Amino acid sequence: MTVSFRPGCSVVPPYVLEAIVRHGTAQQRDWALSTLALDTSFRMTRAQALLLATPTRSVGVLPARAAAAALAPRRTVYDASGGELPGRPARAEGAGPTGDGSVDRAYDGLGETYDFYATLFDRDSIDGRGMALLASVHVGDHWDNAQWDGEQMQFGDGDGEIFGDFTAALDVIGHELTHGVTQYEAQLVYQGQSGALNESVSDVFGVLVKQRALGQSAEEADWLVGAELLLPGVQGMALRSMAQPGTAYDDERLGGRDPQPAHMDDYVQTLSDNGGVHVNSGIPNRAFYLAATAIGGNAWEVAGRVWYAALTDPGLSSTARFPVFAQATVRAAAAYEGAAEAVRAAWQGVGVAV
Amino acid sequence: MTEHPGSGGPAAGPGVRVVVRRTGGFAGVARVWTLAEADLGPEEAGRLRALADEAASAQVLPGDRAPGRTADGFEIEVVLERGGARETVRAAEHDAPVPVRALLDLARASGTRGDPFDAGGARPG
Ligand SMILES: [Zn+2]
Repeated sequence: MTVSFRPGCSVVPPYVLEAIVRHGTAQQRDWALSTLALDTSFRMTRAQALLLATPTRSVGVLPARAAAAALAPRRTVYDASGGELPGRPARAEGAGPTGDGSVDRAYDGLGETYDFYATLFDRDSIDGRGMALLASVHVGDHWDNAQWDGEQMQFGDGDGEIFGDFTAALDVIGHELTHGVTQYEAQLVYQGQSGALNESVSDVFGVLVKQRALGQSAEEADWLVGAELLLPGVQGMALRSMAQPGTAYDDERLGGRDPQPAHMDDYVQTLSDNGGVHVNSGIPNRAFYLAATAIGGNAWEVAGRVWYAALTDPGLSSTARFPVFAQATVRAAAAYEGAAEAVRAAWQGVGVAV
Repeated sequence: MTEHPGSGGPAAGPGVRVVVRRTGGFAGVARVWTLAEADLGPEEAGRLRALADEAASAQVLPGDRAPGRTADGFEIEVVLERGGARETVRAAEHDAPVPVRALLDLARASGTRGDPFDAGGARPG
């Protein structure tokens, strides 16, 4: 687009335009949208998303901050190399790059993930009410993990042998932030099948954040989780494959072959890992992959919206097992032509009856 | 949990032996290391003995742990073999007693990979 503009020339503030898009007449909407299109401080795609938004949001009340201002993140990335958590504030919202790759990747990844939820789902941060995004990097000593502790994200530098820096993968950052979203929405209990759904939802939105950032369609994407974490020499492509669970790696140092099942027939009963939440997530992960590729195009546009609607469905129990979550996705898919059948077939393809 | 000699694996040589098993985490990969006094230098062996004693007295009681809201956290299981007796301590990494965390650090730095108690991976979870 070659439209030139002067910063600050827009007389009507974006939040007023946004309100008009939401509540105005058809003529007023057209005018507001065309005005927004000229205002690069506001994303056109977001206004379009408002028009396309499905009516499945849990409540009709706008998030507190969204009514007053265009959605914007409030990020703080901390450097925890001193040993304490959260650590020393290293980059606050609006500050420039620090030169510390971990700090800057976390900052950018949080921004991508925030933008994903805000643009596609009109969601203002983790809690839907503008919650600050807090992340610590350089956590622990050669810590080979990333986690959500209930309030913030934590990323380690890796052990240096198998795992590198956990901020290296955008889908991992999206995965961790999504654990926060789940905590405020479906609150899926982190044990057994509901725990595997909690994990799967994080993998789904983690890879969607990455696919959207790269502009990859469902057909173009690799559907891998954590590909950038594995150091050279490790026998594997990634930690998980949503397309072909069980094929991501085969390395003795990782305990052998990727143990993820791709079908209910191979569901793993174990006491470890909260009942195998990172293992059995392979089943709903593949269901999402099958649905997204059957629907085609960009996975975040329809399949992503369907899964988000299920995650935010007020009727979904926190102890939901696979069939209950599957039913919620099929219900949500009814809003999109042809999607319900694709979603139903996807779950049936992994042995979950809906 | 305490097991007495004869109920478990083969009798080890003299000294303290500790198996550290770490599960969960973002990767969901189980890692196991063994620390045997006989395999360590005098300084680390002394540290192992002290940490094993501290970890045993800092035992986390079952049901003592809050469910928590941590996702992708590690779980640590430490099997302490001292004087012919065997005890197991389990904790989430983020709220593990200090000596349990220290044993994990020592195991990652100086332990041998693998679990001598684990016969062909038959042990559940
Ligand atoms: Zn997770």
